[in-house]
Amino acid sequence: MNKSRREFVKKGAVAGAITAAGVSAWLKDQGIKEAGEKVKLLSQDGQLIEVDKAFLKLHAQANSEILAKNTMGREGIPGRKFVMVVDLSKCNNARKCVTACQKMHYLPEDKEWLNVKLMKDNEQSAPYWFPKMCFHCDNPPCVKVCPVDATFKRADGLVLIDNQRCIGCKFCMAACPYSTRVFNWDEPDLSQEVKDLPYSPETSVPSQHGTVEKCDFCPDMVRKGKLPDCVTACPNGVFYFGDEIEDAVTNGDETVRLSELLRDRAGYRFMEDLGTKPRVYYLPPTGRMFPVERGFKDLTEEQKERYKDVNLD
Amino acid sequence: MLNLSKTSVLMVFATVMSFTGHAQVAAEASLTYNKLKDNNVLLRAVLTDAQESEPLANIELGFYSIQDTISTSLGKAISNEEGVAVLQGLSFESLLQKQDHTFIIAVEVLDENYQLTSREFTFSDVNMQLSFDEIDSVKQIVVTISTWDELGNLVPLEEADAYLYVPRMFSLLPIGDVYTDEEGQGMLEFPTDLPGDLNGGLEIIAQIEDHDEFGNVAVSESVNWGAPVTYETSKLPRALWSPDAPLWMWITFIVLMVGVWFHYGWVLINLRRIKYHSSDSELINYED
Amino acid sequence: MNFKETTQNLLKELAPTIEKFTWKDWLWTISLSLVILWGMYALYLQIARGHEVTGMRDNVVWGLYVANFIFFIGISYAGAIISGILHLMNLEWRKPIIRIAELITVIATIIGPLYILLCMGRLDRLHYLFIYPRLQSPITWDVIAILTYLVGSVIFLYLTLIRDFSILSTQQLNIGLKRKRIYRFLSLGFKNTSEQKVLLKVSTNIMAIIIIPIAIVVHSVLSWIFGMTLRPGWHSTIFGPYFVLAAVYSGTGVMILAMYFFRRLYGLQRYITKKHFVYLGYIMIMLGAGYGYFTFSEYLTDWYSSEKWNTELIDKLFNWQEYGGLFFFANVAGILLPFIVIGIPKLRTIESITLVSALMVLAMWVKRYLIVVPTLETTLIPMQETRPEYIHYTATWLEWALTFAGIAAFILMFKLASKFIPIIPIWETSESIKKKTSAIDTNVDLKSVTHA
Ligand code: SF4
Repeated sequence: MNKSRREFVKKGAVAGAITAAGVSAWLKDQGIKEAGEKVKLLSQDGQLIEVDKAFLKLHAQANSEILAKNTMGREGIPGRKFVMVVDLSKCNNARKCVTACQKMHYLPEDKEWLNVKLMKDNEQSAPYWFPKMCFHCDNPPCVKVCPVDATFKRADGLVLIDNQRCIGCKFCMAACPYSTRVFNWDEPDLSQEVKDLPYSPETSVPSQHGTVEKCDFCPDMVRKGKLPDCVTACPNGVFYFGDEIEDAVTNGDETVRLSELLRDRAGYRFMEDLGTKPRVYYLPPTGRMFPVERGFKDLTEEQKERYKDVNLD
Repeated sequence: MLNLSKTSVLMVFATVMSFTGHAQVAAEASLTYNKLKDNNVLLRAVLTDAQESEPLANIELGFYSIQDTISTSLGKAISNEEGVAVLQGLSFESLLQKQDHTFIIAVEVLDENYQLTSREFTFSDVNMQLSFDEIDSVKQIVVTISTWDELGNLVPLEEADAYLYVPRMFSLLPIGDVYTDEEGQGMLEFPTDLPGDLNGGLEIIAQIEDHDEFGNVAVSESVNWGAPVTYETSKLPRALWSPDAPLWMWITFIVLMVGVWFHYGWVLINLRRIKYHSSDSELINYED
Repeated sequence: MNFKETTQNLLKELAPTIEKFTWKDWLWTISLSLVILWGMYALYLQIARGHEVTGMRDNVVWGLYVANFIFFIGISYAGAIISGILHLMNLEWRKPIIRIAELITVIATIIGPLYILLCMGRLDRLHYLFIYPRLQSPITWDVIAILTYLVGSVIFLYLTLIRDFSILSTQQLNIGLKRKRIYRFLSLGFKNTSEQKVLLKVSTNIMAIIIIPIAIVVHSVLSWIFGMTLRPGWHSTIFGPYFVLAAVYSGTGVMILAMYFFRRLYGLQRYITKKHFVYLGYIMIMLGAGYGYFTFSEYLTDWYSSEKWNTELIDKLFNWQEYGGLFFFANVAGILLPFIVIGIPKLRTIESITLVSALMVLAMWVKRYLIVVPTLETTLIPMQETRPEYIHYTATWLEWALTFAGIAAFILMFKLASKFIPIIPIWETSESIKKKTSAIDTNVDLKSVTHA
């Protein structure tokens, strides 16, 4: 079993099959008839994508037409229930997830949709790095309180925000127990090209003054069968992402069954007792790959300052 | 400067030094041959600097199929940042094969500033088949691998590794591997609880990986062995977190609102009636 | 003296307040307007530059504005209690002060929600609240409840005004013809015919009854904006009744302040007497007792069970370096002081009652601030933040400017209203004077008059 779990993604053949399988499954879910004719495309990273012609047309329109129609952004990807698993034993606060996320969503440096906390549960237990993103709860306290349906829960499990609907009341921010959401307190500093991008709740770009935003699990990437950016950016393979219905998650290197991973590593959800039912699981930081001090290595003074209250002994 | 690639005659491999004065950089290429599950072929070359092993980006490469002295151009591709050039959409039939199902593929740099040293790769075709056995609810996948001898006869391939996967949304989920016996067969028990689609259907992919002789070869087969999944349609239930409020909330809300506004209405009607019942006298009746 | 003469005398006494706009009135109007203008300038800056100019940031997303919102909605309870409950109990002494109570209600209910608007990032999308409403959101409940409450309060105010409009439109008054016509129009041709009498009585009773549950609902749903979240100090089952009680309590305080203010300003000593202050004072300490009990119960349970975040919050409230001073003031001035001053007969004067009311109202405002801000500064996940404005909320001058502008607007609207309608209800006050003088009356209030 161990052997079969080895790296394979770099191999072209497999990579081709990955995305092709993903896409055609998605097509079937969408109820779109395959034209039968396959087209092969080379993705940016030199991997092969094989797609049906029928999909090509759809895809070309996707950003401008379909995603712009709110209904698609609101309904989610049929037949999916996305889930993330974060392996705390592998995190050394490399912050690659943070910067990748900022790059992907054109966020300024001081705005983090995803950040890494240094947790220490009590005096005796050892501190550990804790990447925290939106948990996309199944019983989301933020969605409950939104007065205008600007933040919503989709059937595929994602909690998204429509910043063209948001009235900026910030109730959701007060309601979120995990302090996940951020607000645009002033006009976001974006280039004209970014401002001109067609907005969709799935891309969350461009940010808008006076509205709320947060981690969205990159549904625009996911729709294309690609992993969210934080997942691929992490050098340690901390993040696993996948579909709960398929019972599989992958960190880009290895693909494992969700149920087995959670069982073997005693996965848990953060603050389960709040009843929010997060869609993010954590694997406890046992058998660590790095000493916790490693996480301070490449930090700026400002970033080190954040963790000053945590007693490292 | 001679550009040999424009002639489709095999003269390629004579090293030609540049006469323009600047030295050529020596390049090195490796090639992965991938036979995808539908008999399409994908060629993936990695081009590096021979000295420093740095990837060479933005270089055009030509791919050729070679038999005896005949070279057929298969196509061209440009290397990316990682030095990877991919040629895809080839049909397996377009490769020229010998009787024993071996074939040669050559790679050439189409850039005058580079000189390619490593260039010619030989692969053999392999025949892989998947079959499914179900005995007493134990589900077994049987992988049969065979290859060809010099005379062109199919013979079982012993001691070969094949890996089995089930495609999931973002990647392939490994379900195990097989090692072939003297009949070229390997068996794997399929897990009982792996989710399939609505009817339990799923695809199984078997792959020979990174084999020196066979490259990467994949075959796939669909089977109804998955656990059928059920999932909610896009209609969300009435809930606090969905667009539709629970019914009791609507009922309470409507009862409250009707109750209050009914009384407001009543009072407003009374006000109208006060006006209606006004007397003509200019004076107010101060008596009780 | 018959009833008609009583009303005429009363009218004569009140006439100057509505006939002339004196230089003093101008002074008031202009200085209050200046404060409001200052606030408007702050508002302009906030709209032009964004909420960045406020002290609010990602952790403390609400600040002074929300505290003001709760505060104003709270004091609007003055009307509900005085006109609703006291009306139903048919207490005669309430009559001279019902107009003040009603006006507080209507004006505070207009000003309070404006603070929520100041809090909104996208004011241009305000109408989304009505085109995309979600019934599950406490904000939706609030919008609907407050609008309903406002309409109800206006109706109630109007019902108690009809007879006075009728008097104003028929009596000799030194006012323009136009205004007279407006009074006549608003009087609905009320001539106190037997049908009209009954209709008005029925309507007033209906409103008096219905305004009480509405008021309770309004402040409950307001508290649920906080109570429905999973935050320490907010997520509390007693928040509904706690807020309701706190609201009535602070409403009574503002009522006493307004009485004092108009009594001095318009020389109404004959109508608004010490009795009114003392009686309202009694009501106030009764409510204060309840409020104090809730407060004690709230913090005791949080402290005793010592859940992690509740403890963190309570530590902040009891820490002199943090919110200890404010918390101390809120409880001493907000609960203890009224008890001591009103409870001890010797200390009980109009001035002292007014003073403790003023302190109590301030303390209640501080309490609202302490409900909103420290909880938002207590996040469940460690903040691990270096930007000081994200850790601690400090209101900027703009927020203060808009706070004072709101208070100024409240006083100004009150002042202007008193120039248009008699601040003492003429009809009802005459009624009680008549009852008293006719001496056959032996009901409670006469006894209480002698008692006082
Ligand atoms: S801030 Fe926007 S998304 Fe959040 S509750 Fe208000 S309207 Fe909804």
